[in-house]
Formats: sequence, C-alpha cells, structure tokens
Amino acid sequence: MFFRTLAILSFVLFSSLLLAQEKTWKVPNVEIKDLKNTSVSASEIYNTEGPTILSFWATWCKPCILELNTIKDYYVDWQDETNVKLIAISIDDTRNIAKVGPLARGKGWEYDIYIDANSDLRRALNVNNVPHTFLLDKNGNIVWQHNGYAPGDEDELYQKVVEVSEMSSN
Amino acid sequence: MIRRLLLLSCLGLGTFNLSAQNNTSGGFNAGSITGGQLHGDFLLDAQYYVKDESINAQELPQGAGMNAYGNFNYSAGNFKAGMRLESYEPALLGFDRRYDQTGVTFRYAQYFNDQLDITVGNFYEQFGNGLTLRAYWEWYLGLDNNIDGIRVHYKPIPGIFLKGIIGRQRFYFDQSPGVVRGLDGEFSINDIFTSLNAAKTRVIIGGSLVSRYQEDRNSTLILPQNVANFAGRINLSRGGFNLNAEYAYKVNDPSTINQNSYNEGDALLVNASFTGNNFGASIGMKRWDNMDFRSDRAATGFDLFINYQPALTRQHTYRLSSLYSYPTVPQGEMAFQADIFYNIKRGTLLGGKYGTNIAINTSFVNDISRTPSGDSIRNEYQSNFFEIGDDVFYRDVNVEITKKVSKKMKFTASVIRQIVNYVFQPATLTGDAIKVKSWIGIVEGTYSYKVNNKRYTSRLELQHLSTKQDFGDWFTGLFEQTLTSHWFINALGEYNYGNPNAERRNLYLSGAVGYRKDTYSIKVGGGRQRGGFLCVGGICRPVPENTGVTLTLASSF
Repeated sequence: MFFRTLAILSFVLFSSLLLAQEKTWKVPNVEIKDLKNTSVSASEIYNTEGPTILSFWATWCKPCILELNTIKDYYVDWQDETNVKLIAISIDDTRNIAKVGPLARGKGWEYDIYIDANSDLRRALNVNNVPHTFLLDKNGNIVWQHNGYAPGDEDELYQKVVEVSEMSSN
Repeated sequence: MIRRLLLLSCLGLGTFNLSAQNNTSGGFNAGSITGGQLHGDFLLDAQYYVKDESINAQELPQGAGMNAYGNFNYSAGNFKAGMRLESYEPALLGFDRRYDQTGVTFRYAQYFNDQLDITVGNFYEQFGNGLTLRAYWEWYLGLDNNIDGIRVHYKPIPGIFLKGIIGRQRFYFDQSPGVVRGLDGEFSINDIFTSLNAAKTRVIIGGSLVSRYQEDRNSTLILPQNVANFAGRINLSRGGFNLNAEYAYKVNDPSTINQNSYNEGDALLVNASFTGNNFGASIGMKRWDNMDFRSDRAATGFDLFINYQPALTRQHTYRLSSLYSYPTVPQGEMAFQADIFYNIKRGTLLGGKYGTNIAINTSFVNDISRTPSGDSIRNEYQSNFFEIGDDVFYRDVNVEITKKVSKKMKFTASVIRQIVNYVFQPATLTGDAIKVKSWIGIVEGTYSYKVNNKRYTSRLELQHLSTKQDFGDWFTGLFEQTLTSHWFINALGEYNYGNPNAERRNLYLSGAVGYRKDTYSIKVGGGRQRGGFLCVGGICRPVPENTGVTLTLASSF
C-alpha cells in the first residue's frame, strides 16, 4: 500500500513537472492587507516600471529573513540597474501581525510589505513553504519562481531579474 | 478505484491545459474556458522507522509512514475550481491515527467578479483577527479545519467588504457534527467617504457574528444548541503608528474543554505598533476567558476549532529555544508582549562597517482570576476583567544581536530566559506536569566564499539549554553546507548530557542531503530524532523519539 501510493504520488509529481513548462500566468485577485490593515488586491500590486520580486516570508522564518537581509545590501544597486521592486508578503497570522512592520523597518528593509494573514494568497499561488519567491515582468506575468533560500541564491535571482528587465525593455 | 479516476481526471485536465496554453499570451481570456491555467503543488514526507533500543524510539507496525498531498487549482476567466488529494499510508508518528487514509479532502468551485465572489465546496476563511472564525490549514501540525459549504464575499462599494459563510468543518476524513454559520462586515472609513480619502488618520471598523448549531443529546444537562460568538474591531493608523483592537463575546457553551461551564466567554486582543527609520516596536495584550469555540462541544486537542486562539508570545525557531514551547491555555489567559527592533546604522561606533541589528522581546502570561459562583453543577465562576490571576503560565525575555563582520562572515547571538508552566497542559518530555525554567544561549555563524566563481556557504549553530527540571541540560550543534547553488548537506547533533537519569544521557545524531532547483526539491536524511513538540501559533503536536530514514519531495507548478 505504502509503495503503491508513493509510486502514484511520484507519478503525479513528475507528470506535473512536465506540464509546468512555458506558461505565463498572473497573480490572482486575492485580498491582502497593507501595514495600515487596508485591503488591497494582490493582482494590482506589481511594479509597472520594471520587474517585481514577490517574496513570501514570515517573522518566524530564518531563511526568509536571511534572504531579505542579504538582498537589502544590494537593493539600491539592483533598483538602479533594472528598476526592480521587491514586494515582501508576510504569511504571519494574528499572533505575529503586529511585529511584521516593526521587524521589517527595524532591519532597515525598504521593501513594500503586505500581510496575507490567513494564507489566502499563499494557497492561491500554491506556495507550500516559505521562503518562496516569484519574479514578475512589468506586465505582471509570473516568469519564474523559486522555493527555499540558501546563501548565494540571490545571484541566480538577480540574473533572472536582469533577463526580465532586458526582455521588457525590448 | 475512485482514487484512480480522480488521478486520471487531474492528468486529463492537465493535458487539456497544456494544449490550451499554447494560444494564450499571459492574460486571461475572460469567460472562455480555453484560456485556462492549471497550477498546483505537491509535498511528500516519508520515513522508514527502525528499532533503536538505546533511546525510547517508536515504530510503526507498517514499518514506514508517509504524509503527502497534491493541490490542483484550475482557473479560467472568472471561474476557478480545484481539489486536494491527501494520502497518509499510514501517517507519520505523532499524527492522529484517524488520518490513516487516502482521499480527497478539499474540492471547490468558485465564481468571481470585481464585486462578488462565490465559492461552493471547501474553503478557508478568517473574520478580523480570527476571534470568531478562522478556518485554516497548517500541514505540519496536521491541522485543517476547512469548511465545506458556501461562502460569499461581496464588495458593494469601495471600502465595504461583506462576507457570509455556512457549512460543516473537516474532521480528519469526516465532517463536524455541528454546523457553522457566520457573517462579517468590514468598513474602511477613508475609502467610503471620498472627503476622507487623503486624511492622514485611517480608520477601519468591523464586526462579525458566528453561530454553531449542534443537537443536544445529553440526558442530564440542557445544552444550548445554538451558540453565538460576536466580535467588534477597530484599526487606527497614522504615519508609522498602528493600533488594532478586537473584542469578542460568546454566549454560554458548556463543552469538554471548559468542563461543562455555563459561563459566557469573552476575549480582548489589542496590538499597537510603531515603525520608524531603522526602528520598530510593538506591544500587545490579550485577555482570554472561556473562548474555546468548536464545531463539536466534545472536541479536544486541536480538533474542530471554529475560532483562533493566538499565543501572545514569541514564535521561537531554534531547536533548543523551541524545546519548551508554550501552548495557549484555552480556559483563560492574561498575556502581554513587547518587541523592539533596531538597526544601528553602518559607519557608527556600534554599527561598524555593515551595521548591527538588535531584537528584544519579552512576554508575560498568567491565568485570569476566578471566583466560583452560582450553581456548582453549572461550573460557574466570576472573573474580574482587569485582574491578573496568580498562576504563572509563561515568562520569556530574549535578546538577539545580528552582525555582519565582513563581506563573507555574519554572526547572530541570542540569550533567552524562559519559564513555562505545564501544570495546566502537560507537555514536557517526561510527561510530568511541572514548571520548567531555562536559560538558553545560541551562537550562529555564516561564512560565504567563492571558488571558481561559484558560491559556497557554511553555517554553524551552537545552542545550549540549561534547566534543573525535566530532562536537564542540552547541547545542540547544527552544521549546514551548500555544495553548489543547488546541493546542500546538513548534520545535526543533540546531546542531553545533563539528564538527571545517567542512562538517558543520549546523543541524537542525524544528517541529510538535498537538491533544490526552482520550485522542486528532494531531501534524503537519516538518524536519530529526539522527542519534543512541534508548535505553530500556540498549538503543539508531539513528535516521539525515533530513528530512521526520511525522504522529502516538494514541488509547485
């Protein structure tokens, strides 16, 4: 039973990988909140001037904070070179919501911060774990995504950002 | 058989989707099914357990366990539908045995436009801070209280959000005996009145009502069949300041958790935060009295919650700082918490070349005060709203300093003082109801370097916990190494060298190797795992001691 189910699920996994090729899709119309607790539709927050990095994180997620802290050091340069904007979406719930803004500003992050308190957007984008990063072009199409973070991953992310920014300027 | 059909239908949908996507260029083709997209995610955690007599290792009769799910969401224009298949054959150790099945646990169809959003089938939902309703999914806890029924969201004009729900909650592979019904309204004053659009002070008010119906089959007690829970909330913000408050009131709801008390319940949650340049602070308070609310009055553990009981304590993430986690006490709590985050700028004396980051947190949780009153069979009491009870539930003071010392090296150091009282919710390793007082020290270092233009990173964590209670002192070491940008290995050692019982001074060693690319990852590990509790949001699940081999697969598409 165990191995049969394992085999079936692996089959589902790998067939889904095959299906996952070359598609453009957008962030769905799901309500999230800004730091003033005002509802905003997630489909409208992307940067129309250049690429958008949409990063799912949480105050209790160490690799997430490591990733956002690392990018902080490069952010000004990245913005100058590609017009990229980073939008950090916290999946913290009621327990930690009040800490989201203070933690972000207290770490000196200048990103746009939103809160997805009941993980509605997270589920709509099939994010099974944080950190999870999406890259959007200036038309809001999701062109790349990445799950997890290990130091050095920001190099690959920036390479993709440059590709997207060159693609959009053509 | 049903499973195979579902599988085939998923794959069928996927193939259809592939052909459909060739002629779309990103945008949805509103109203037309040919512009559809299929997306989903998949996760599998499996473990093969082996006998290990030197620790109290538990095993499964089947040998191996597996928790897995696949989510599929199909969307086309204003239409969305999806399902989740879950499989536990059998569930991993530490999960409820009622999970030992495979089946569809979530399926829905949804229609939406700019004003209206209607879902039939399973859905998640939260009203305000969740004091009246929160249906959510926490996979690693084995918590899923989704509602199967109908949900409507309506936005008549900008700034007004109305919600209505009705249905029964998920109970493992079954449904709740009680029906949950709810209404919620949220009004963003600055958006409703155009004259206030540009005002610096922003005000949002809201209110909700959630009611549960469950038949009374008790032969001795007259139990309320309809139980209502009301709440009102307000959010004020100006500049970097934000204040959020919600008060909820529940009519009498005798249940297993409150030992059939006929008392009403109420809860107050207030959070204030301030953000400035390189600085942020927040304070919060919570009073919780008899507000446990479930869709079965006999439910315990984390079965069938209708509302959410947030813990007002820091969610610790290191192995030893989360060894003695605090589970919320549903009967009543007075809790306070404060946080300060400060980034000392680079170029200053304390900031150094790269700046220094400081985070300070403290929390305080006591019981509420109670004086028995009225009928003892009805288990009634009076509680002064502003009085703090004598029993200490939790104390925590912690300081964390993060410092980048060079382009390659970074350090984090933490000191934590914790007192956790498990008298009301026994959750210690020994199972004894005791108060555990501990000091925890943690040092973490990260070293990143380049060889042949490829980045490699090493990370080391050293942790120590000292306590005179329960299992005594622990030492933990964790080493992680990224090999290329996609491969990583880690090794974890935990040594309970201070166990008062010399024969139980065990060493727990484990390791893993993994590969990750884009949204796919695979990880294989093995070794010994110490027992403990996995806690998310104040709800804890026991993880028994075990030895074995683990496999994790994850993907999203």
